[in-house]
Amino acid sequence: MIEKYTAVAVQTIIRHVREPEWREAVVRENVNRYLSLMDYVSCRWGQAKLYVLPEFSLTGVEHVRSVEEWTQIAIRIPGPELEPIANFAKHNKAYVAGGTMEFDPAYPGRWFNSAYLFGPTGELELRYRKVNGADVQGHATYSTPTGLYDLYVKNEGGENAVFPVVDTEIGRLALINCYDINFPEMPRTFAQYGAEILLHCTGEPYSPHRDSWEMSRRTRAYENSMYVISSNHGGYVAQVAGEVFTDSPGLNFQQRRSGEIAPMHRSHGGSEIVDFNGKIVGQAPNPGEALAIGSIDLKALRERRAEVRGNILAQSRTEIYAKEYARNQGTGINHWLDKPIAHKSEARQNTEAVIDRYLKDGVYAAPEGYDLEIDTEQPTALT
Amino acid sequence: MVKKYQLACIQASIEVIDDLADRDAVIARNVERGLNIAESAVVRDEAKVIVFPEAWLQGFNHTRSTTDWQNICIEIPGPETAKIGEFAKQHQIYVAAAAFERDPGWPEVWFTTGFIVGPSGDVELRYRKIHDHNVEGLIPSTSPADVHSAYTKRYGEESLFPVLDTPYGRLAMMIEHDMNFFELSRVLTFHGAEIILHPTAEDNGPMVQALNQARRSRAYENFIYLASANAGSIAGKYTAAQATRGGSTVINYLGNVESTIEGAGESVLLTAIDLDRLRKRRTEVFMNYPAQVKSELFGREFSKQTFMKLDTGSGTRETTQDTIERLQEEGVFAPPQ
Repeated sequence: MIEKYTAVAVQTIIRHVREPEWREAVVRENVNRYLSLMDYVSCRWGQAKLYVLPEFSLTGVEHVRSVEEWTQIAIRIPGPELEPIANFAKHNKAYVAGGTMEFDPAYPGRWFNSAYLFGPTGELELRYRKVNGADVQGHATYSTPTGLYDLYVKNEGGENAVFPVVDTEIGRLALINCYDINFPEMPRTFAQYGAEILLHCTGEPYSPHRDSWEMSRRTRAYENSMYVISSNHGGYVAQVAGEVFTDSPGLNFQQRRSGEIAPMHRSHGGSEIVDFNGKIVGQAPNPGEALAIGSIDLKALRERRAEVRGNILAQSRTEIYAKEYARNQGTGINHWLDKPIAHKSEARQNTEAVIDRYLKDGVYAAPEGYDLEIDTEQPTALT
Repeated sequence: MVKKYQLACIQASIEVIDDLADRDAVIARNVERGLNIAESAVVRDEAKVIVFPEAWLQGFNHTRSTTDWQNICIEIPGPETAKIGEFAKQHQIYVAAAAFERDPGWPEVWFTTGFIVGPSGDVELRYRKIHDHNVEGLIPSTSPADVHSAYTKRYGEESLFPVLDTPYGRLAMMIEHDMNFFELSRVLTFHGAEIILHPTAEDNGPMVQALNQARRSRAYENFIYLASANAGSIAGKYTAAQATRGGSTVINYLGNVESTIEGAGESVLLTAIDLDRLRKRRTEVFMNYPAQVKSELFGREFSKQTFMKLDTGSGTRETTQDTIERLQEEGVFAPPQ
């Protein structure tokens, strides 16, 4: 066990694969830049043991793209695109995590919003696929393990494949992506499987929710006595090989969303390392390329978890709540078992159905004048 | 439904029962003083729901013997809540508070209990604290979770997470340490809670910032209002009067601080509750956490691993110590070197 070491949330500007034919060049350019930033850490700060890159940081994100096009653009984990990152981990005897859109031929017609972790041997240590978001929200078409739960746990060797944790010399590591952090149940389940350090590959834009996301990661760290390392986008551009596309007339929605006329700094940055008491030990408070560097004290975390006072994790009365969760069945599983999501707007029906059921069952109370039969809500702009 | 109204957190000064002989007099003084300082919020500002801190009636005294703890307990309902009920009935409001309670039908145990007295003058909701500090050895109380089988046999599972439907929204309660456990506010939300009234007892210390963040998270995760009332001062033989951090706060359903008292001292915090906006937010799809939580999945996952077990018998410091050791043996926690 390495008692104390340096970890870095590498906040990057992400180049976006707008056209499928850009794929190789853009992914290569992203990876090269990220490797340079990680190299910078070692010459500026000394060697770090753990690096975390943001969500979908190899290809960028595009929510209106067809599923078919995504399956072509998304990368494989492991795969040739990730080899330079695996080599970096091996060469530097470090761990490197990051998020990427993923295609797995075992699941044709689907793609995942995933995260990976490479270790000092250069081998893949973890692969996580995002659980929360697209399958209920209606903003993207990626599949989630819970959307095809029965098939997924059969293929992947059990229910715990949804919540992978790896035991390493630098602690027990787990990965989550972006929106997952808003559900306290996620880190708690990872804690059940032993996680001590949660690597949060995220993509948080400026929005009225900014405050709440920051609060969430800090609360998750506090209530689970775990480190949370959130690596967010520093910015976002659609360019390839140095060429910036500024010719805006006739741009379609996809192009507009992809960064050509959007502000580069529409991510708020704010990458953070939060310790097991919910305190910030490393931060890149602003957007742009930046490094949030902090010290991970694994020994202190383990000592904290052995203390009686305020040991929220140990004191959770899990059994009472397990029953209540099972009874509630807020959002179910297996929504997309038979048929993958074909269009992003399909998925919002799942949340609509739960809201309607909640209103009928009295979990929610209807606002004045609300007609259950008429859904008047307009789609909201999403990230 | 009243779409918008005022809620008041009463950051009361508390006198501690140090001598059992003073029990009734101290409780009477605490109640009288608390209701007096609430009066203007109710009469002048028309607050419809008011919340008092934990231990408002009796105060904490760590030197109390187990027998003394039993003896300072009140019954709920009982003469003390009847007195509060007169005030609630007179002003047609809801009054929430928490006290140390004995159960006349179950003399072996006592609870830290939240209650809401309504415009009827009666106790309309009784919630017994699930996550008490007994499991840290700080107080010899019992939690329903400690005696879960016997408790649910006596009172039914539905008694654990009560929610009260009122013209001012669906009210539920958490007490102090409860707030740290996200499962509780989530389950109360599943049971319909919209406004969680949180009598608390928080001292100054290194975790104040974490508590502030956690409160906001609870509100944000569930689209609830969270109204925390802390003590303004605690006067007793063994207490530093301003050890309490005060800081009573109301968080809105977006997780933002609606209003807060900076620091300790006797005070009253008035806040407008916009019930209709809360209900509208809950009908929106975008980032609707209570609807999007994969409760079926987590029901399965949470049933696989047990952090602290149920039916441990009245919690003591060993309850947490034993849990930690078991979790280390099971490999959930890595033991320190």
